[in-house]
Amino acid sequence: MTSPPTETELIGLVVSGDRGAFDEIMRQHEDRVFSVCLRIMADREMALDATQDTFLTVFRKASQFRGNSALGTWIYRIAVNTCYDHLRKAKRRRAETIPDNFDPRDPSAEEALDSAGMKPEIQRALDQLPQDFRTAIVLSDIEGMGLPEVASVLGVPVGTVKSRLFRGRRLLAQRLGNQPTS
Amino acid sequence: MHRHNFELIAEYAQGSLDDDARARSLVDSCDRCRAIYNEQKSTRAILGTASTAVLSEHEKAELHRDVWTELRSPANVTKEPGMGWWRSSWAFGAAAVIVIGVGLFGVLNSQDATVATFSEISSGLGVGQTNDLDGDGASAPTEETTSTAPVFEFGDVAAYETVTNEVRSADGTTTGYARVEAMDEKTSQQQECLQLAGLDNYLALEGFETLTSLIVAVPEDRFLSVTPIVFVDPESCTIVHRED
Repeated sequence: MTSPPTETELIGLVVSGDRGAFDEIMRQHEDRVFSVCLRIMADREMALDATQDTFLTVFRKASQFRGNSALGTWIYRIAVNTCYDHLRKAKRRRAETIPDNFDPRDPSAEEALDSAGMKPEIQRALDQLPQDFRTAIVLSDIEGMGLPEVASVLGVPVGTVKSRLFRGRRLLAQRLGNQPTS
Repeated sequence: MHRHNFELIAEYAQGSLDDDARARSLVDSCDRCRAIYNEQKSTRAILGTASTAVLSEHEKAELHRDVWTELRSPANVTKEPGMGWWRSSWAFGAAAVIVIGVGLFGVLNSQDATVATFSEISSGLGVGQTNDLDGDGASAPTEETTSTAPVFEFGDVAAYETVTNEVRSADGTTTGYARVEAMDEKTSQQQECLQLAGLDNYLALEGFETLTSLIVAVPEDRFLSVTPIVFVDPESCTIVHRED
């Protein structure tokens, strides 16, 4: 009986052209990549697109993975950057095409998010946070990553993550009516 | 005097402190600290009710199918990860840095110093809003192109720019492969890294992803013909090479 390949072995197999190895990497990380993208983007279709683009980038840049961090950390870093790119492009498209009186809140999108395990009012409050704060909270408080891993995914010092989490939670508490009384 | 160390309290609420005695003491001794602690803890609890979203089996099947369809398309055949074996070579990595340096310098040195500053040139790209460094990060290049010609060819291996834009001076005579990216979140992370490297007034250039994983940065508001170029490791945020 052989043990399953390690992350380093898997990525090495991908670089050498083993497509089964890449499928395995996708299987291991696709749910969490999608979850992170969904929480950051609040749109299931956009999150699916970003998930696909994340794995395309992972495949194309597999040879650049240095093993300095866990493979998952590297993949989530790509995912976050991909989500940011998609959001930026979507914002640009909206600015070009949407009339001033358009209501962006789509009830079916809220239903989809509700079924994905988050109450719409929480997602709405999360959406209103500055992007840096939102991403830190998604990775830490929803996806359960530790501070060093969040710092590594975001490419910022741990102290910056702490600050973003503290301030992000404070803003979120205000929006959810969960403020300190004294 | 009591010092409100709220980030320590936030860590305490998160349960990530190895030794929480100091934080506990703060919370016990100060009403404001206790309120913040409760707020952080209850907000975390609310967020904790959200479960990790999962893909349906149908979505997973579609994802795998679409990824492989994209990777097998003719435009991507030469982008197989196997082509990157040379990137792991230190020698090639060094060569790539030199090529970029020389290439970019070739571009930059061909500028007439009286023609344009960095900002003026970036606004001449048709990407004027990308130079809005104080903006909200929503702006982006108005035009993105993907190079169809390989930047490097080695045997049957070819490397392409993922995104390229021409750098053009005000008189339209100078072209290159750099582009000025919007001040978006990715750029924001790079800017933080540049600050850690002591490069406060530098801008990260985009468009070199397939050539180097280093951040390529130049100072703001300097004539391109005389500007230094700095290469920064994005992981350690240290300067690995500098062309003055």
